[in-house]
Amino acid sequence: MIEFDCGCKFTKKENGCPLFEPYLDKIRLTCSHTWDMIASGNTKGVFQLDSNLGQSLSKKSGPHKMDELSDLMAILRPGCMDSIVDGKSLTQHYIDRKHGRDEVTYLHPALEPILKTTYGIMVYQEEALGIARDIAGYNLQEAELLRKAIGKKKVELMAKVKTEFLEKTKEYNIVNKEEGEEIFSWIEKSQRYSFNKSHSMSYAHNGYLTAFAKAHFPIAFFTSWLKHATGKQKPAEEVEELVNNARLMDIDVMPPSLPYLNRSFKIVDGCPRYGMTNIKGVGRSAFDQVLNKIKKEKYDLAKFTWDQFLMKLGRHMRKDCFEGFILAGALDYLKVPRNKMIYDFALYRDFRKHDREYLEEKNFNSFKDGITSILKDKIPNERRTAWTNKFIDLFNGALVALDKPPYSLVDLPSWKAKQERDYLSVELTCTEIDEYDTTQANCTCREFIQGFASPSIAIAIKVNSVREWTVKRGKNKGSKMAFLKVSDGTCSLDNATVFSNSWDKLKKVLITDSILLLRGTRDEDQGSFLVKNAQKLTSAI
Amino acid sequence: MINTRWYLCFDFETDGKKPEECNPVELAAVPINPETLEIKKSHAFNTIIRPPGIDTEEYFDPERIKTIEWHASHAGCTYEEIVEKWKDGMDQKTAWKNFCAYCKKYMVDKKPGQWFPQPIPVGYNIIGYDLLIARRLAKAHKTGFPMGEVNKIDIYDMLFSWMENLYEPFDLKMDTLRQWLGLTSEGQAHSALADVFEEAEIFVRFMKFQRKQSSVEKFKGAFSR
Repeated sequence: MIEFDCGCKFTKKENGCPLFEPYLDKIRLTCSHTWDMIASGNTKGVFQLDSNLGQSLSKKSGPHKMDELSDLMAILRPGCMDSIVDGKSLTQHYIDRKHGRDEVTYLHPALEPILKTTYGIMVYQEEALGIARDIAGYNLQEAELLRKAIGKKKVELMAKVKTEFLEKTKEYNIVNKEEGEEIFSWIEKSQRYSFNKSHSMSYAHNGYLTAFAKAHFPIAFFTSWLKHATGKQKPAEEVEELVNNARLMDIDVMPPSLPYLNRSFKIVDGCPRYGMTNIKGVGRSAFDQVLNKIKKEKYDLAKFTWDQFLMKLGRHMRKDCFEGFILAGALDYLKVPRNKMIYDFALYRDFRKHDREYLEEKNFNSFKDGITSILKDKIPNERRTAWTNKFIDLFNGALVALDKPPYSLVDLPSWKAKQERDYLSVELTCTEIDEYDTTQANCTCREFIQGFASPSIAIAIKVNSVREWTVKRGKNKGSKMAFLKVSDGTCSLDNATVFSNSWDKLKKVLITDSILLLRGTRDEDQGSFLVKNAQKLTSAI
Repeated sequence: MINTRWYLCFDFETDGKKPEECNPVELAAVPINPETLEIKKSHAFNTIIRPPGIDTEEYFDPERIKTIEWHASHAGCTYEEIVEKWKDGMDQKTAWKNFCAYCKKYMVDKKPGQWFPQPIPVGYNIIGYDLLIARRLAKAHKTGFPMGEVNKIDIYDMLFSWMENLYEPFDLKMDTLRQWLGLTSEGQAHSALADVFEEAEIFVRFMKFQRKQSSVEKFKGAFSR
């Protein structure tokens, strides 16, 4: 067990991933590092703030204490987002008032003590109760019944409680009749969106704890999240987002490597590393089969050459499992191009079962030696059948194929990147952009997110998705603009924006999967990348 | 529509004239980038294929002998050298499977509007000849067809549509075209790889020409009254 002064402990390593168990009573709720991380919008994996919306609102709202985080948990709920007042949502009202862009006003001065913490906006159900108590003299139990009755939305019941509320405000004499009616209607409307404060606070507490873990123990945090990403609705997208987020925090998620023999994500050499069953097409039983063989024979994988590996283990794995290992990079430690491994394995697969057994039993140094031995020592001692000549041709063909491969077996970055995308959900060791001349770029996605400043920013990227949007307000109303999701090897930008004046001329170039050099500037308000120009990159290979 | 599928220009050299019976003796292919139309010569495929039964006397029937002599005369070598070259080739199954693995490298991701990820076969007279052989090999070795079945570009047909009303060239044989278009061959004519490079050059030149000619404005509403 590892204990930290900050009030956290990590206990029992579960498959290499320590479990985070904070001492709830000791943990500091004032850690500036944690609050800064939340306020910067880096909340991927943080409880309730994991979504794009949560990340964006965290940045806009910028909470720095528990009450503010609780407010954030309440205002990002759909009810609050959908409640439009004076042309904008209550969420936006809250943010604008918090940052002093809008004036904080109250319907009546008597409401100020109750609504001060939420800048005059009724965010919580408890605030409705407080209003009923302070301006109509309800006790809190009566106020809760009033709130519930309003929530039922039954006309007769509503009329009854409204009359009762107005009578009580008249008796209490803090607000007049008109103000009382307006406050009642306000409470009525708030029932659609207001949130229970104790619930919100407990969300905030859990959110803070996860953010604390992320801020202070990011490697364990990401390893754990990656490990459990399989349970998400869209596991591939989740893994991609987590890997990109980890890159932002200077953590490189490493591809799988067979010698570590880890089943799932695990911290290896200070980095989260893919496990073998995280490779698409490699199931638990398939991996166990290989693992048992390696343990039984006490193979030291680090000492194997590729040829030895192929001959010793090739027949103990299913085709898709073996190919998955190669294409995901789990055998890269053998220092042989992935193309060459796939090529050799395809030759090996065509051999008869007893030929593969022969190759495994005899300790040949190279695959070629093994095939030569089959031709010289094994086949002459076999009973000749109608098929013998066919197999002699096959082995001779394999020798020719090993000597003179019909195509280049060098790994191109675009091919490797595609395979990694298919087998690991994300490109880890290279990207397609590596094949292009990117000398004109002056910034990467990661540098942009980290605040790269220049009057003209040029980033070499791959377009992942394009979302066209019709402008609804302003002088360009009705025209089209677009939001791009782009990435390079360092990270991804989800908020590249092409305004309508540029979109018309760039839409022929800005196509999904294209590799481009985007030129533009930073939108200082939103922090997004404003695309002004785009050009195709030229191949460097 | 923006095509993102790779073009794969390929060519077989065979030991006979009939695509239903002949054995392929050489297979070459070169990928062409669909966006830039760049011919990726450094990523070409080329292999000599050992025809089944070449060690037996029955293999050398009069028809085959004529074909071997024809290959020898074009390659500028002897009959025996051609036979030796073929004998040293890869067995048919290994060669074909290698080709299938090679084609797989040029498959794109499936996505809405892009249901066929395989590379688009391109070549000279492929519809009537090379594709028939390729299908036969896919069936014999149970591999599935490695290239696109729906879209295919036969350069012979492509050129026919551009030249069917011109006095020149006299015919559309590859040898005639080579001379008429002024192609400077990088290798020996009727070696599969050299042929494939030339065919790819012709294909790319005409595709660029077509791309220049076509535009949305020219086609859109062309039939509206």
